[in-house]
Amino acid sequence: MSFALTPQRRRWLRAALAALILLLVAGAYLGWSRGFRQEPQPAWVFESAESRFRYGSIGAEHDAGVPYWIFYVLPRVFPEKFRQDGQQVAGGYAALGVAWEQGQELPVGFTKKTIGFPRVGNNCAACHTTSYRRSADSNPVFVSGGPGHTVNIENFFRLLIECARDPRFDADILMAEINRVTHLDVIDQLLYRYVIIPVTRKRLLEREAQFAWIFRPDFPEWGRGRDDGMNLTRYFMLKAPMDDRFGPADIPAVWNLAKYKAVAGQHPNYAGDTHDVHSVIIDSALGVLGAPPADKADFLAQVKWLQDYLSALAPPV
Amino acid sequence: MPHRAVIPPARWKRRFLFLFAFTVLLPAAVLLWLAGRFGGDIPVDYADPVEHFKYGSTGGEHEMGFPYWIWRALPEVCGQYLPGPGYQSIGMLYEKKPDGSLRDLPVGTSRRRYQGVDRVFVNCAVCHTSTVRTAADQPPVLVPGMPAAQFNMKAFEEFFFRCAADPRFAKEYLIPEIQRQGADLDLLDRYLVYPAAIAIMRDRVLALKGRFEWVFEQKPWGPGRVDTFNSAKVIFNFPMHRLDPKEFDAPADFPSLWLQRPRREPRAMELHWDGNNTDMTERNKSAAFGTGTTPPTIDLPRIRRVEEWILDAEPPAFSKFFPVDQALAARGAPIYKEYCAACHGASGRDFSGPDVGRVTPLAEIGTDRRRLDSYTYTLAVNQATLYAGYPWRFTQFRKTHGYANMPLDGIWLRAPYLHNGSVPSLRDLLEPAERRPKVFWRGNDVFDPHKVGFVSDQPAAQGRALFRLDTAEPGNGNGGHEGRAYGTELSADDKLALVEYLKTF
Ligand code: HEC
Ligand code: HEC
Repeated sequence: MSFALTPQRRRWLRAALAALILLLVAGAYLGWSRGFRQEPQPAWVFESAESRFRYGSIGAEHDAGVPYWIFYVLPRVFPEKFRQDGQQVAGGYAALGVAWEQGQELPVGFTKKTIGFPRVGNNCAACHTTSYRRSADSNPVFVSGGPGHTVNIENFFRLLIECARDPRFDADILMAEINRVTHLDVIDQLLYRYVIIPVTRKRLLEREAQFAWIFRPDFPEWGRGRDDGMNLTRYFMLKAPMDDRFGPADIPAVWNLAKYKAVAGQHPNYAGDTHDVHSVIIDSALGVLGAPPADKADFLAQVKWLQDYLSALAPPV
Repeated sequence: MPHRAVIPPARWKRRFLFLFAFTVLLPAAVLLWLAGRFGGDIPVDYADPVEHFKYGSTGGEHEMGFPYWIWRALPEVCGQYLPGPGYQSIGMLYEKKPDGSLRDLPVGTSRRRYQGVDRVFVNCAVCHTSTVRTAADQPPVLVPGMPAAQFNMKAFEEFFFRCAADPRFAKEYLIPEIQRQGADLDLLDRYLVYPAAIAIMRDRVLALKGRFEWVFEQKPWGPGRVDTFNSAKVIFNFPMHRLDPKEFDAPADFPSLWLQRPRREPRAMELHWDGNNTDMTERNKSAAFGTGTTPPTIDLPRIRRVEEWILDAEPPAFSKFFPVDQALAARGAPIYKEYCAACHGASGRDFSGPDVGRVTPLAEIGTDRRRLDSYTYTLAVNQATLYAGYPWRFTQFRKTHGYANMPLDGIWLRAPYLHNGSVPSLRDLLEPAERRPKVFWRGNDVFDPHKVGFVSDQPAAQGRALFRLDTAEPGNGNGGHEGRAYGTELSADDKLALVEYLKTF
């Protein structure tokens, strides 16, 4: 018997090959669409400059983003890890002192963006939004650009890592809770179970090493409204070796940045270590991203927008 | 190449058929049978909207459903955890069939076959339907949409949690009781399905028990009340022991559901007792958590049928049960108009008025503050995450700082009064707080047409103990809604006339 390609066999082979390619293409498309395809945020986010500042993505969902449904169920699965002022608190993310407007799906400074699947990231407003109440019996008013004096950032960083460290951060447990709150189709079910949950866990645990210093018992708590921005920069951007330095600083107001005219010798950082508003914003935004930007041009455009917005933003009277 | 024996075609055919039967036909038949037996998701439906309200499904059986026969057997097996025989003893109502025997499920429960088992759970009517009698020797009249003034929700919850933790919650006790009640289970049900269902249900209920531990620690709500928004915190698994103690002991009276349409048109009213939501469909979906639904398992088409019914359902007229002194009522009308209409609407059907459906600050209204404090800003923002990913994600919950001025349609059947049901009758509500009854009994369905409210001075009715409400207990305060603006300084004659007028609502 010879395996010479008779015309008939050739036809079969061609058909099989075409089918295979089709399958691969469909699979690749599906993988891309469910794993990486970016969808723009909904229009309401960009309706006003204020809503864009509060809920607009600056690209943090790529690397520092937490898959939406994992983010959603963490308070239900790990309520004991939500702590404030040294104690367990009731209320999920709201209990961490974030600014959260009624009717909004996420607190101010938390952005939802679909990159293959919905993810939650942060933007500057998470720390740079202040809240006040006129009396104990009234609801909070939020002011964009003000210092986030109620938010406990250290606890938020710790929380994510502590959840990932917990053996209950496991596909069975998380999926059971997710299936109680939404309906995922088969592909998303499989994706979450076998890819998204394990990868998220791994990513968060990788952060553990970089964040080792926030678990050091000999360092004081940052507490509410403070942020060790310089250590974040040293360990994340500059990959500096860990040492004993720490310096939590009060989160400043970032409105009216136009007041820092470089020529006049006024400096926008507490220690006055940079002259340039632009570089402070870039540095801060990079801090939120936790990694080099996925799309540099887009990132610089975001920074430009932020600089314009914050320069012109007037503090409330 | 070795020589192979040639098999005759007939034998090939036989072998092939044999193989085909074994590998394809048989598994297909088994699969088909299994699909028929355990697939499907079939609720029991009712064409009539009122029957649907009383017995139709909201979808809660998917997640929370009790296998029908377990539901039936539990009051016998765990009788020691009920105040008397059957679900009747905690105020569930059984209607009669045409032949005079009782229906097999009480009002406010629905049935659905899901995953091969008939399941039962509660629906909206369990908290929003009750009965009224014109005298102790008269038959009860069932009124769908009125507050379930006899149903004891706390006793209901505690019964299941206690029973699931009891060693008798086991197939050895339950299956014989099920057979005794005439279930006639087939072999599969008897030896496989029901034993498995019992084990699964026990685990489920016990897994939830921790989340409901706080309920056991509350002062009794008694019939007709539930702690609405602490129950809502359970959805998010808030660590309840970490809540501010002032958020607890916050029982809320069941309200009536009639006439929702004029509550949302022309202006959407702020409703729930504290006016925390302006959107009826959100209030309904929020309530549906109480019937065991979750976003993926809620039965929206069937909830919509309830929604449509409550838009226009009307309360029964007082005059169908008792006479109204029209002349006296006419004298009460201008008093109502002067004192009450701005907050409560022009009449029992015309809800217009500048402040209707708006919130009166607590400092002004002065009623018990616990229900208000149980609803926190933290809860409100968390509720905005409910139904995330669906077009109907909740967006309208708001923390308020007072109680809502609500329409008074069918007010006669909404006793006891105020958000915590702390004032037994309309006549008592028109007295300043220190002259209102300090202690009274809830849960009677015999009506007192003079004071306008259920009879509240008797500790028992029909051989059943009623609930003693002590207004000195936390959450039961009967103060507030008093002073000149609220009619408590009117003359006795004017009060009588006003009460007579309110009977026409
Ligand atoms: C566990 C008992 C319970 C069940 C079951 C229940 N409700 Fe209620 N419902 C209440 C209570 C209590 C309130 C008052 C809430 C408050 O303000 O504290 C209420 C309030 C409401 C209101 C607002 C009424 C107003 O005027 O303020 C609506 C509408 C409503 N329920 C609809 C429903 C629907 C629809 C269902 C079924 C899906 C349902 N309820 C199931 C107890 C219940
Ligand atoms: C300033 C607005 C306001 C005025 C005026 C007012 N009420 Fe009220 N009323 C309320 C509020 C708010 C509540 C709910 C308080 C609570 O439950 O804590 C209420 C509750 C009630 C209730 C109980 C409803 C129920 O379902 O339990 C009745 C009955 C009532 N009012 C009747 C009257 C009558 C009669 C008058 C006139 C003499 C009147 N109200 C005047 C605001 C008002």
